[in-house]
Amino acid sequence: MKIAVCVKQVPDSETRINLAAPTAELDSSGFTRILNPYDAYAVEEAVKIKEAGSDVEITAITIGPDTVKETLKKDCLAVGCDKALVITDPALDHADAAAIATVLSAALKKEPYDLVLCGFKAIDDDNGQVPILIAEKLGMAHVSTITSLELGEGTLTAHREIEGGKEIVQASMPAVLTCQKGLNEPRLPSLPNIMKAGMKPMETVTCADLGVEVPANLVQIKQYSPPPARGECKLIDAEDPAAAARELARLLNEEAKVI
Amino acid sequence: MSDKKYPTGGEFLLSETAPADVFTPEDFNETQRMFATTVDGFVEKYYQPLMEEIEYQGNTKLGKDLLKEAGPMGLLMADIPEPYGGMGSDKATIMLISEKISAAGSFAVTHGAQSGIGTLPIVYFGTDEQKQEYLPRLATGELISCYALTEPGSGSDALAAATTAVLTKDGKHYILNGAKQYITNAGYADIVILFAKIDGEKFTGFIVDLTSDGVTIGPEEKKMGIKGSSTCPIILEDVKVPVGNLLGEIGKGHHIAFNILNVGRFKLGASTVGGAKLAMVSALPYTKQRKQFGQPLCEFGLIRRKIAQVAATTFAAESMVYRTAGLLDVAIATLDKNDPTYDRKSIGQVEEFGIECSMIKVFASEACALAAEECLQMLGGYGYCQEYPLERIYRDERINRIFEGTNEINRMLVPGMIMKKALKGELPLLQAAMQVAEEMTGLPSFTEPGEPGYLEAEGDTVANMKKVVLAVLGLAAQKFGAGLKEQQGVLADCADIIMETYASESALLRTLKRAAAEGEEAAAGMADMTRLYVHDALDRVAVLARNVLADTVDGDELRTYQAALRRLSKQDGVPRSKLHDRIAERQITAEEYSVQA
Repeated sequence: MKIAVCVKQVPDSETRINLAAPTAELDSSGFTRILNPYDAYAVEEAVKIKEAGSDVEITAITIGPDTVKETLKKDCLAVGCDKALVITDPALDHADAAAIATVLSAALKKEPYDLVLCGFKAIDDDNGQVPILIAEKLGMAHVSTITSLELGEGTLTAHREIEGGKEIVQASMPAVLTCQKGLNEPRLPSLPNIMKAGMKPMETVTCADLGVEVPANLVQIKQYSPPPARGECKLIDAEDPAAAARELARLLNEEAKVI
Repeated sequence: MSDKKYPTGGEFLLSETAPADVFTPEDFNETQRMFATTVDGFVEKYYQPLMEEIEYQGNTKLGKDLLKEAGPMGLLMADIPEPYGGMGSDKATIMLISEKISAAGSFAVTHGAQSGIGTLPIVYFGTDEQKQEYLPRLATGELISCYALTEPGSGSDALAAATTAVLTKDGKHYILNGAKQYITNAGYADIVILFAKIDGEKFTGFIVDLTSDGVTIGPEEKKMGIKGSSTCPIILEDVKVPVGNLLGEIGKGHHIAFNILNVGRFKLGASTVGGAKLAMVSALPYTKQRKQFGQPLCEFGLIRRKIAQVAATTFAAESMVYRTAGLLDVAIATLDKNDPTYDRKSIGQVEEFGIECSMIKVFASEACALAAEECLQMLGGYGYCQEYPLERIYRDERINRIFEGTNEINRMLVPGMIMKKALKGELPLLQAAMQVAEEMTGLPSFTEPGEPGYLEAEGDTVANMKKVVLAVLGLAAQKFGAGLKEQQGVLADCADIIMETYASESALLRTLKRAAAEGEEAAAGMADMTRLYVHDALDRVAVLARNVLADTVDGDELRTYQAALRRLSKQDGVPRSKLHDRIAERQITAEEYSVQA
C-alpha cells in the first residue's frame, strides 16, 4: 500500500508576529517554524498503518522553500515516513488553496496512492480547503476531520465528530482523509531515528518537473492589519450587585450600543 | 613545547585562541538542534504531567517509569558507542542533551546517574564482554544502573573507602562488605558500579547485580531538593560478585572514579546552564505582568540590573561550557575510531581537559545559583511559595555545588592540575610566569592607547587577566613550593582568577565569532553581555590577585607587584546602567534567556 501525507510548515503558534501597521506582507524573518499540528496526526496515522501491516510505503509531500526540509526530516522522516518530496517553486510563493491543490494533485498522480492523509486545516491560514480540492481533482473519496480510522479490503471506516454526536462513514479507497485531534497521539522523533532520517530519500522538484503550470490565484490577500488596540477598561463602582447590573445594562445600551 | 596540533588542557592561559577555533552554541548542526527539540518534547510530554507528583510528593519511583520512556527515545544512548547499541555522540551533543534535560528537575539527576556515571565506567573501562553484556540494555533503559563511590565515612576523600572485597578460595568470586551512601537511582536500579578495596587496600571497581544475596537498599534520603530522584544507601553483607564483574584493573579503581568525575563535571556544567535558563524563563514573564506603583516590575532599574547580571553570567557560563565541549571533541577526533582502545583513549582526552571540566562545573553551578537566587527575588513573596517554580528551582539548584566534587574540591583542583602539568613540562607555565614577572617588576610602558576598536578593550582585559594568572601562580609556586597544596585560601583565589579569565575569554571569543559570521549588529546582544561581564570580572580579579600577592610576597617586592597589578587591572568603567538596560530589554522581550541582538 502507498500512503501520501501532505504536510505544511507553519509558524509556531507561540511566534510573536510583529505587525505594527497594515501591510501587504508579513515580516516572517523571526518566525519559528513547525509542522502544522493537524498534519502531525496525519503522519502518525500513516505510521501506525505501516506498523500494523506489511509493505506500506509512506511519502511525505510538501510545498515550500528550502527551510521546509528540516521539518520534513524531523517530523516526517524521523517518525517513520519512508521518503519525502519537496515542491519548491517561486511561482508558488503566494499561491492560494486552489493553486496549491492543483500542484499537489499533479504530484500525487505520479504514484498510485491508496490513501492521502492531511491535517484538516493548517493553523496559519485556517483555510481547510486544499485536501477537499485534491479529492475532487483526483476523483477520490473524501472524509474530513476523522477521529478514528479502520482499513478494510479496499474500503475504510472512519469516525467523525459532529455536533452532538459521532458520524461513522464508510468509503472506498483510494481516498483523501483529513485528520482531527483525537485520532491519535503523535510521537516524538527518537534520537536514533533523527540520525537515520538523514539517510532517507528526499527529492526536490519544481512545478515544471511535475509538468504542471501554477494557475492564477482566485483569491488574493490584500492586507494584514493588527487588531484594534484594546480600549480602557471601565470598572463599575456600585453599592450592590443590582445597582451594578443596572449600570452595566445602561452602559451597554447607551455607550457601547450593543443592546 | 609539544608538537601537538590540537589544543591541550590549560593552554588557553598561555596562548591566544582565534574566535574561529572555539565551538559555540551557534555552531550546533541540524541534527543537534533536532535532538534538542526531542528532549524538549520529552520533558513536556512525559515529565510535565508527572511534575507535581515527582517534585512535590516526592514519588521517586516515577523516575524509573520515565527512564523506561526515555530509553526508546534514545535519551540514554548518546554516550554509548555504536557497536554496543548506542549513538557514540560527540561531547557537544551529549552536553546539549544534558542542558535540555535539566528542565526535568529531579529526573535530570536520575537521567544523569543512568546515562552518565552509571554507564560510562563500563564504556571506558569495561572488557568487550562486559560491554556486550550491559551496554545495549543500558542504552534502551531495560537495565537501570547507579554508581556508588561515597560512603558514610568517605565523601570527597573517596579513596578512604572502607568497603572491602576478598577473593574466595576457589578464585571465582569476590566477597564484598561495606556500605555506600547517597546513591542516586538506588531505589530501583538493577546494577551498581561500585568501588571496594581488595584485601582492604587495592581500590577497585566492580559491577554488582543488586538482586544478589546480601544487598540491602536502605530508605530514601529526605532531601532538601531534587525530591523526586531516588537517593538511598546500599549495604553489602557478604555479597558474592563473580570475578568477571571486576571493572578495569585491580587497584586502579581511582582511574575509573576520577575520570568519570571529569565527565560528570562537564555534563553538570551543561545542565546547570540549563538550570539558569530555566530560572529566567520562570521569572521573566512574571516581571512583565506584575505591576507595582503603576508599572510592571521589569521597568524598574533594579529588576533590570538583576536580569542583566543573570543573563551576562549565564552567557559566560554557556560560552565556556560549549567551548570546552569543542576542545574535548577536537581532541577526541584525533583518535582512530577503529582502534580497539578508542573508548579508553577518549577518556584520556577528557582527562587532558580536567582543568576545564572542573572550571565549568564550578562556574556554571554558581551561575545557576545566582540565577535561582535573583529570579526568586524578582518574584518577591510569590517566589517563596510553592505555587511558583522558583521555590523548587532554588532548592534543587543547591546540590549542584555539592555533588560531582564539591566546588571547594574543584577549586583546589584547578590550580593543582595546572601546576602538575607545568611541573611535568606539559604547560610551559613557569617560563611564561617569569616573563610576566619581569614585565611587572620592570619599568612600565606609558604608551597611551588610541580609541579602542570593536571589543578591543575587552580583548586587552583578557590578555591582562592572563598575565595576572601567570604572575600569581608563578609567585605562589615560588613562595610555597610543594607546600602550595596546603594553602587553600591562595589556591581558591587563584582558581577564581583562572575561572574569571576562562569565562571572560570564552564570552569574548563567542561574540567575536558571531560578529565575524553575522556582523557586529547581529552580535550586539552578546557584545553587551561580554562588556558587562568582562568589566566586572576584572574588578573581581584585581581584588583576588591583590590578596594572593599579599599572602605571597612582602616589602618592596609586594609594592612593586601591587603597582603592576593596578596597571593591569586599571579600567575606566563601563556605562553599567545603560548596559543593564539594553541586556535586560532583550531578555524581557524574549521572555527567556536570549543572546539575540
